[in-house]
Amino acid sequence: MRKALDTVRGNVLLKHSLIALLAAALVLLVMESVSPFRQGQLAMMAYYAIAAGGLTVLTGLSGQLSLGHGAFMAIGAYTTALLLQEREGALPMIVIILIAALVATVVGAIVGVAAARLHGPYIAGATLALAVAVPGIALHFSSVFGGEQGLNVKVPEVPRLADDALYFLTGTETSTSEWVAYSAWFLLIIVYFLLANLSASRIGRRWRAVRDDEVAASLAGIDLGRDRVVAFVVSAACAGVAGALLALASRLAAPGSFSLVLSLTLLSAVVLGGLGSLLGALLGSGLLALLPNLATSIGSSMGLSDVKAAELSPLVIGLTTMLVILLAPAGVVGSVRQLLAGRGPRATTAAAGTPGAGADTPTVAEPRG
Amino acid sequence: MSTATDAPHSAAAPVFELSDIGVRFGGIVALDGVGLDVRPREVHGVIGPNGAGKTTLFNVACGFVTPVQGTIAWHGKPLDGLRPHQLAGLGIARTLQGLGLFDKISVLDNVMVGADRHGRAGFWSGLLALPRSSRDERTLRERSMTVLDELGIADYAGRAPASLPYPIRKRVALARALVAEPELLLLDEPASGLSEEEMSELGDIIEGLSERISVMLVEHHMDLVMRVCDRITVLDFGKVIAKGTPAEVREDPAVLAAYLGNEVTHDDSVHGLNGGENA
Repeated sequence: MRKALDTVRGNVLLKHSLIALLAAALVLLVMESVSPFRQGQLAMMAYYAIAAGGLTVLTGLSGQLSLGHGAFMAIGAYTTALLLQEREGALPMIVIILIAALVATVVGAIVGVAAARLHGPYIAGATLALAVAVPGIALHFSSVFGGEQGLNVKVPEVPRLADDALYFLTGTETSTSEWVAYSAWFLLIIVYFLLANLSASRIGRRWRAVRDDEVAASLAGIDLGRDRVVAFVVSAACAGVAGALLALASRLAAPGSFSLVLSLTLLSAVVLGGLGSLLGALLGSGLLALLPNLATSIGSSMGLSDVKAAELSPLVIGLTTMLVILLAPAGVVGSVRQLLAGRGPRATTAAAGTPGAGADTPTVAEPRG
Repeated sequence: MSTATDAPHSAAAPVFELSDIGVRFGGIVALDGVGLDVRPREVHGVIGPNGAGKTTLFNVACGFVTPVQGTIAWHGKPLDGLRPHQLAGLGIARTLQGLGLFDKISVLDNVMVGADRHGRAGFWSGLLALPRSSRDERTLRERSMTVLDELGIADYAGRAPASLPYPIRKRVALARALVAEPELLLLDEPASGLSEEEMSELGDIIEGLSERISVMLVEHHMDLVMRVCDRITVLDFGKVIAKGTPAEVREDPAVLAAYLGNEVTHDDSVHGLNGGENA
């Protein structure tokens, strides 16, 4: 048994595939047992988490701070909306999402090349400008992008094959919104699977090296510029997918959805969960997708008017982020790992003789995968 | 040039050659017409009083400082316009005084970063976790463990660098440079902060290395330099004041004058220079 566990731990593909399969099963179970309203919230959590996962790679692994990831989501969302103006003859949803990712990737590559020449606060400034500019473009070219009102998205019908498969698994019919929620979660699993693979590969290690010490990394032969651009492109692609799903789930691509607050919210999700950890990004996104609703319902149960109760949610998000930064700067996942690493008896000695286990010894509190 | 004709390395063409290097910082001349060459499997020392230009010369050799005049050649070909990371690909490895370890990843991962140039798997194999990628990881891990083992620090593979004592961290930095299997290793003050015993172990390591590769050693601990170097270039005020074998340099009146002229501030060095005769 122990040997089998070691094999799984040593083999990245096997380990990540197993986790992905378990996650898929869990998604099926949860989706079928909650109300359509909750499914909508879960879809929101999924697209937040996809974007936050990309941001984790960019900020947590490669050390570049982006305040403008909402802009890449906007690019993904508008691409999707433009491709889904008519329900008749529309491309399959997955193809549309891939095109949205591709467009975001191209823009990400351009911004990434510029960002790779900048440092710390300057990257933050440049990406901030992007977050402000992209919704502005949508407003300016209102004949194409629908101005303030945005573009409606005509979500395609559930494909026959998927409908049958879900009916076979769950015994119920699948509505379009349910189908979007399912797609969001399955894409989330695929995206995290790929990101976790990257994080465990040479590239992930090089990103961490560049983040920790640029000069030493370049001495070790790492092309800083190239690896930074790759990180930017990967995270922009994720944000593109997330934007496409946002457009599909809300059936709308409008400038109001991509305010600066969205970019900052994504960053909070990454920090809340634990910088550099995909699990952290997922948890952080969950918090941010569910908190506003919770805050609003607590507000109304305490006798506040609906408007006042709705105003509570930014306050709650802000306070939560501040508390986490003050009390647990490593984020939720980071703090738990630090606790485990400090307490575990297997802290130091295991690594020496067995190189296979060496890579994952818990003394380095940095989260992986 | 006062190179002894009977030195074991004299016949071979230089691996690495700096000629007529000039560096200015504003109005200050940091290096003026400095030249040196490192031959195959030679340990070449660079010494000089504080402020002589040793570190500037090291930074030129690393590609961090672009000289206003002069050329740097690798196997006879000029290295102009190469960025620092490209030197690693040629087989030039460097360690810094400041160590520059990656603090948030394990010792093993630090060394695996150094081994990265031997990796073959690209972005797509990493993304899809193809067998190519895991084979790569295994190879890099084995190479890295071998080097850690050779330097006697394999026990620390899983530790975070920040949790280790300074001499161990220095070895990790050395392991990260060596795992790249360079043809030339540039060492900047490798002995600083080490005890006598640790310095003597470092001497053994460098002597072991010189059986395989060339080393350029910038160092102010005379005992170490006199013990391990085949040839030495002495700098003072940005100029080469002497070159030769340790024995020749030790007798050189210009060298003695440079060190004695700084007697008050460089007492250690003078002591080392004389003490070197016993080593």
